[in-house]
Amino acid sequence: MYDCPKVREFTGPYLDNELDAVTTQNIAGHIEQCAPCRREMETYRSQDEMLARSIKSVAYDTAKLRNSIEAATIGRRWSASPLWARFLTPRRAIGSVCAVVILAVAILYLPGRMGTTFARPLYEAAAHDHRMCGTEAAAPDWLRSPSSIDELATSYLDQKVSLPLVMGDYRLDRARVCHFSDASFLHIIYKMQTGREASLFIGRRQSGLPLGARSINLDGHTIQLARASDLDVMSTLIGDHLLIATAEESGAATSVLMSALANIRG
Amino acid sequence: MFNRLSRRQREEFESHALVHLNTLVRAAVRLTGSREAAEDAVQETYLQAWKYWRTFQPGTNCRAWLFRILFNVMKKTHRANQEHIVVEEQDLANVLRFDPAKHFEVIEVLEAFDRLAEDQRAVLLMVAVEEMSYKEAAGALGVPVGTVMSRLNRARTRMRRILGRAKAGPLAAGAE
Repeated sequence: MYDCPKVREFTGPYLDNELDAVTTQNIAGHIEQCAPCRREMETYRSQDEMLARSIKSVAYDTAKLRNSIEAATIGRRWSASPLWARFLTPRRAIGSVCAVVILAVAILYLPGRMGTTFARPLYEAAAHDHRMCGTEAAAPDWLRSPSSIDELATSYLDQKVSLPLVMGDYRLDRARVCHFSDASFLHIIYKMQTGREASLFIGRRQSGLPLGARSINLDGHTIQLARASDLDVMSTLIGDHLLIATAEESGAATSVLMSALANIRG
Repeated sequence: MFNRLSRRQREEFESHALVHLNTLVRAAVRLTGSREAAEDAVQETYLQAWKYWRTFQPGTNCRAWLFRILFNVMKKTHRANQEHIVVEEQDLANVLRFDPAKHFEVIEVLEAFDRLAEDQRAVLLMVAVEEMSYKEAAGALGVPVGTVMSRLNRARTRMRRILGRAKAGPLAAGAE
């Protein structure tokens, strides 16, 4: 077993899981019996955790920056040549006509199908509830003070939750419990001064994460992306909870979702 | 600057690189001390990443690759402006939380972090905040693993001293 100076020497790599199994075991054995070394280890561990929490708790609205980057990178492909120039070759022209005919047939014979294929019913329902919350803003069941909202979230999630009051241009506005898709959700709304709103829904996990149009991995979380009319919908699971964020700006939905992930324990 | 990539490569750029935008902005703000400088650095980072996307190896750590570009961009563009790093009021407004004690704690920790030397902040961000391995952090920073260890040791010790929690002691061995 190691002595105290040896353990102190390896404190950093031990905290960062950078040691081999034997050394890790030796240090773990020592700190289990040595209170000063244990305290030392805990001090640095909590300092690191506090730093990570503090830095991750600051949310930035990156929507404008994202638009600018996309325009300069992936979006630039459309400005490389005029759209009509792409259909000049006979083969492409025929292909385009066929595509238009197939699309027209699909629209004529599959009424009501278009627009719902990109999002599962749950995401459509969340988007619908988000739209309704604007017209029901004066309803008496909304909680509006940050302390009441935190209390509601704490009680709903069975854990101490402190929601960020401001996320970029959005400010915590109100919250209530709502029901859709045979389940109840905690509905939290962030609002811009211009009146634009972003919604966060927190519900109980029923099974797996419902599929969206596609999924991405963000900061270690699998996130489903969907589109419901003019709204971006993002969802993920954390512990026993399903989180759904929706807003007109995808940047806002991302900020809301990531901020919730930073503040809710799994 | 336009880079003619295949549709699949563009989709990969979107799903592998653009998803780290928030992480990069968060890190760049803490490293530059300014939202504006951070956004400029991150934008340039993505333009560089786009330019050299063909050289990115799928399956490797895209986040670490982006951080490496970010650090290179910052070395070139930010050196002249980094003498006085402070926590910006604009950032603190975003940290507002209902719990005043927690709010105070966040401010205190961020101020302590911002008082560290730039190389110490960078390595602490990589390892303690972004949870990168020493090897990944070394790759992103373009330094040996031993340097990562020694900078981490100094950063943690200094943070502890600034926060005044206890008398600082050496953490890990390693020479720069």
